[in-house]
Amino acid sequence: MTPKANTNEEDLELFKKYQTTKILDENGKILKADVTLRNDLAQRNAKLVTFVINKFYSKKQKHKELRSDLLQEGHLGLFDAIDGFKPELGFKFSTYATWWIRQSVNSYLLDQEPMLHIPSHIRTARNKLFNLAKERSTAFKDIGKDMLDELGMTEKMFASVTAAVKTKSWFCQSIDEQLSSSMDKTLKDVIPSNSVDMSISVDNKRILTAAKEAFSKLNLREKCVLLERYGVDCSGILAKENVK
Amino acid sequence: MNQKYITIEEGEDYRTIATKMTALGYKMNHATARNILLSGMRKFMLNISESLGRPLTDDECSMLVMRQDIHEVLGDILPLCLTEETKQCPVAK
Repeated sequence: MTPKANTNEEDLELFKKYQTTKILDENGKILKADVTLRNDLAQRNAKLVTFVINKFYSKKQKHKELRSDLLQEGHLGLFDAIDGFKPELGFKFSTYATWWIRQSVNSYLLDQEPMLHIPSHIRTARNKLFNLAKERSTAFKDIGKDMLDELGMTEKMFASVTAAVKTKSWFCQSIDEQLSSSMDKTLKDVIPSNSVDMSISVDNKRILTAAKEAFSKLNLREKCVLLERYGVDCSGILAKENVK
Repeated sequence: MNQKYITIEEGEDYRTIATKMTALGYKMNHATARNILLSGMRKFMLNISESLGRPLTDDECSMLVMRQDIHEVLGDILPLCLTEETKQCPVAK
């Protein structure tokens, strides 16, 4: 049964007109389209974005703080919806566009969550696993092979998802942050570095040169006793002296 | 600093040093080995301090000789003082 389209006649005409202006490549991507018409359609349906944001993203404090960003992301989703909408199928534009708007906003919100970027297919798999675990009232760590088979997920994929879940618990901190209010030191000051400080390296070279010079001034007996005392074999020095 | 002795890891004791040195043609007993070591160390540290532009006094030398960390540093520095030529001496092998 084809649902009754609620998109008004004028909008339908515009969508049909927009369809005719689109030039697609062999993969179905839009190469060229009437931008003015597209903008007109977006303006006409702009209230839909506000409606979706108010309906689905207005309860959490984080969503409230990001409201203006979510609206913008929603509008980007609306543009995708306009590009992909096929009026000849007979569905309402709002039905189709709501999915795109939500997808766009969800994608943005997921990007905001971790400091490390997690690929979208891993995020989707993670959400599926979490939902299934919630349905079965089991913990994420107790997910078994049977559940993976049910979702058609490989063990390798599950390992990737587990690794992605772990990153959520990682604690991120700026290295320029002060360690405490009473200390002037930052995290950068206390993290050990593998690179050698140039001044220390120069000092070490100076000391080593001085030590070599000082050692050469000692007589053979002193050299040998010193070396033996510190566990260094002195036969090399003695042999050299004998050769001389 | 109340420590009355210094511990050196992987080093030889005075009697072993004396035996080895005697075998090599430098006749000495353990007390001589100790005296040579102390005077050698003092001379070594004085030479270094002079090269670095801040000569040590006798008292400073005596204080330094009693410090464990100085001995540890000496243990690290002395092998580096051997020249490549000495290390690879064919006669020694």
